[in-house]
Amino acid sequence: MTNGIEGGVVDIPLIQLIIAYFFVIILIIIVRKQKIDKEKQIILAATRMTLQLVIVGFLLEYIFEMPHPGITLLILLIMEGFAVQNIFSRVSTELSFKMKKVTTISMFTGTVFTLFFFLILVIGLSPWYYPRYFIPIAGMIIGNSMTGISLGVEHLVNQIKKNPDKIEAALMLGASPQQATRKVANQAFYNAILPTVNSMIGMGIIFLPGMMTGQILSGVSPFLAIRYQIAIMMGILGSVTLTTYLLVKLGVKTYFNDRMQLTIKND
Amino acid sequence: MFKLENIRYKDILNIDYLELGSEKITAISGPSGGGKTTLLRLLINFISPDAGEIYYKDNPLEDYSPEDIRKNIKMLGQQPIMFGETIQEEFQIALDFANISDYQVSNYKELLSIVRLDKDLSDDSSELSGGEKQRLALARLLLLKPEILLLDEPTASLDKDNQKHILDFLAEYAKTNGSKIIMVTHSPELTKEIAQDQIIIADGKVQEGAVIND
Repeated sequence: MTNGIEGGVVDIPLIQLIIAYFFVIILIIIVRKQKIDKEKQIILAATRMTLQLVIVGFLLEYIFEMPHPGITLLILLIMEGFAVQNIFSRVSTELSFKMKKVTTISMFTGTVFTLFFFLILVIGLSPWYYPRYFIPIAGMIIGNSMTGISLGVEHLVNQIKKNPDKIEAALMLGASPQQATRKVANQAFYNAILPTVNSMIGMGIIFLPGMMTGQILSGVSPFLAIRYQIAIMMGILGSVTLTTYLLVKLGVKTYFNDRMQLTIKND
Repeated sequence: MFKLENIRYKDILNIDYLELGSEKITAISGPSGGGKTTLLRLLINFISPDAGEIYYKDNPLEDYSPEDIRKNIKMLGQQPIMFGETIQEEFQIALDFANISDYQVSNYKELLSIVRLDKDLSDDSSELSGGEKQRLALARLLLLKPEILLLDEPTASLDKDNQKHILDFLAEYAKTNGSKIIMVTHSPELTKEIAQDQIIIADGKVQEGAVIND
């Protein structure tokens, strides 16, 4: 069952795609045999994945055919909205309204700035809203920033809530709110950027990144694919850095009032 | 130094009028949960009263910037909290918090000997006993030479001999450095020899007739 290469890409006929579901069947057989009782979730996940991707496929086909700045921006907004919602549901600790606001502002500012910086200065995309580039790159930048900021906000909030006495002990010695929370904020920042840094370390040796693999599979020269991959990694690093830096700087302030009083201690 | 007028804070404090901090050492005592620590937290502006006014040097405390307040007034909490890994780091972090760059390592050693802490600067501060941590936290605070020291039961974890030594030293310190010390103590007996002003607070109120000025 082999297919010829059409335009640099090996096509996957529908029947062969259905064969790929063989692995889902294997998983269901294993969980049933092991009495893990998660068959419904697995079937639901596989079905959702299929439906979501089919819908996105049709949507992207339509958007790519008719590029429009308004539609591109609308999709960016929807992606940002889903990402922010996902951060709130991922974080196990309860976030205050102020912290949610800070998280949203940090996410929007950091990702949008990096995205436009990247598209205009690094890729040199013209027109800037060309969806075939804009949407996948926005997806990678937003997705990675979402993971980073989730880790950052969780650590920041948990550690401040756990250590009010330590923060106040620093204030007692004359520390500013920034100094008193520096250790917690630095660790939150580090936790947030760690997955990106680690993935850079393993890239090319332990795994081939998704975008690069996709480009190579679609017939792009590995050298060009590598250039894109390096550039996007820099973009992701920049966006995670910026979003998380804003988050810790603004997030810390939500715990103090204008008299530099630690408000959680006084509730 | 401080004047409190009609101060209300939650159900914890209810003080109609109180002057304190004009003497070198003021001792505040009274039963647990009576509002002593809350009073110190009001004085350093960690909390603001729900009603009433606190005056510091004749001006409302809230008129001073938080930076100014915390530059002049520093506090030692009941639980000694360590920030660094070694004893030397504890001093350095405190200096960093207070934005003081002019210091000498010999000062650290001198302070350790004053608080009777026979340790090396490279020793791990997290492995000190409760009493040792309390003495180190006091030494760390003294290094900053604040105008006003608010001490919340600074000798609570110490044995009687060390309690007396630290209190005698604080009396000497206040005399020679011109600092004012306002300290909370569980027992007025402990501080009667060194405090010129003794205040008793119970149920959030200053106990009438208990303010003793020599």
